[in-house]
Amino acid sequence: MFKGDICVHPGCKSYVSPPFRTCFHHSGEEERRIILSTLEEILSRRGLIKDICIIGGDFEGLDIRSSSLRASNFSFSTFRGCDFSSTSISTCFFDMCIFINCRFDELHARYTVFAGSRIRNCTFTGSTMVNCNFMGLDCIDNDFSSSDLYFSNFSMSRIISTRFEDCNLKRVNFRASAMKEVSFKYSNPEEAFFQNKEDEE
Amino acid sequence: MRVYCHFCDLGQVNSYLVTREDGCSDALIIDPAGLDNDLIGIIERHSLDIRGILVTHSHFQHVRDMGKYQKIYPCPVYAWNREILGVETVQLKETKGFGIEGFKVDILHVPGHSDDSLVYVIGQSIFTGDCLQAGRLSTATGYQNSAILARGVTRKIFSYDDNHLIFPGHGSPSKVRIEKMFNHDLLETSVSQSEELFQNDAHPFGKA
Repeated sequence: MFKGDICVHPGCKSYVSPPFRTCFHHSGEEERRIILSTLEEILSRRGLIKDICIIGGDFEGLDIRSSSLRASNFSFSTFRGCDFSSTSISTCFFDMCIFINCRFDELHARYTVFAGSRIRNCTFTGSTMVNCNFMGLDCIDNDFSSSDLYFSNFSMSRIISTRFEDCNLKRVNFRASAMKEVSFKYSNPEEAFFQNKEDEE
Repeated sequence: MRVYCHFCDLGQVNSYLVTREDGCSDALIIDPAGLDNDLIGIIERHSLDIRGILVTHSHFQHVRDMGKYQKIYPCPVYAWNREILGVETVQLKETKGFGIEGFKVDILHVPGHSDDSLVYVIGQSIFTGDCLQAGRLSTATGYQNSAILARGVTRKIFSYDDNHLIFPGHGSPSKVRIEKMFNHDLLETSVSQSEELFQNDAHPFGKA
């Protein structure tokens, strides 16, 4: 479920972390501290992270392993050396983010948006990422091997030195993407879309 | 307001369950494509009352289980057409702030993919049906319909704030900002061409 309350700061349309009424950017130091400590507390007990909205956050070495993220928004955030392994993510927004040296192994993601993000040297091996939005990625030195990417969308991306080996690429959209040194070994690229429009609805 | 995304294997269609936050159990279904145990479980677990079914357009795969919904959760069906699969509907037209069972809904008519295509805006969420999907416009027959669709999307859906969430009938969710930046069909389609086509307001659905 996604809750869409917006910031009460005049002119701001960003989402808020309930019960706060202002977004992370317009929150005071105390509110920010509470949001971040809540996040850390949930992560420490591998619990369910829900309705957290941190736009423009900066995270280093965050351990999100085996947690669950639902209906959260981390747009414009930076993640360095974070570990999302075996995490379950649903209806979350990581658009326009930067991911460097992060691990997403055995991630289970659905209806999640990574569009416009810059992803460097990350691994997504053995993951299930169904109905995910990776449009406009700047993706260099990553590994999506052994993943199920059914119905995910990588259109308009720049993908360099990245492996999609032994992946399920059924209905995956790579239209208008610039690719260099991309390996689809043992995958089914014939069931993905590279140039033409998908079948008629 | 909360949105639950539900994927229907048959036709690979998304249905959405929209609920209110104010302690009220009222809920809406957007596109009754599939009703399975998962969805029934969520409805029952949260003791939700389905108060209405909103249809984005009447292509069969988007309304496949409407009869099943009506049997289990009898409620009115809202759509552009007067009747869908033998069920009489509450006919909608383009309106802003239309009240449906306590939900305030902006109803946008965005033809092109089909003549009866409606887009529903509830709070910060835009349910686009087949008009707009992540990274692409839906198929439309012929140049004129493609231009009508491109014009409807850019003029109506893109008039909302960049942070509005887009929940399409197929595929992954998106945001208005993302579609403005990366929608290949819209970048490819010269909007100026469609502007030229309609400069005399001579299109079959009237002036937007």
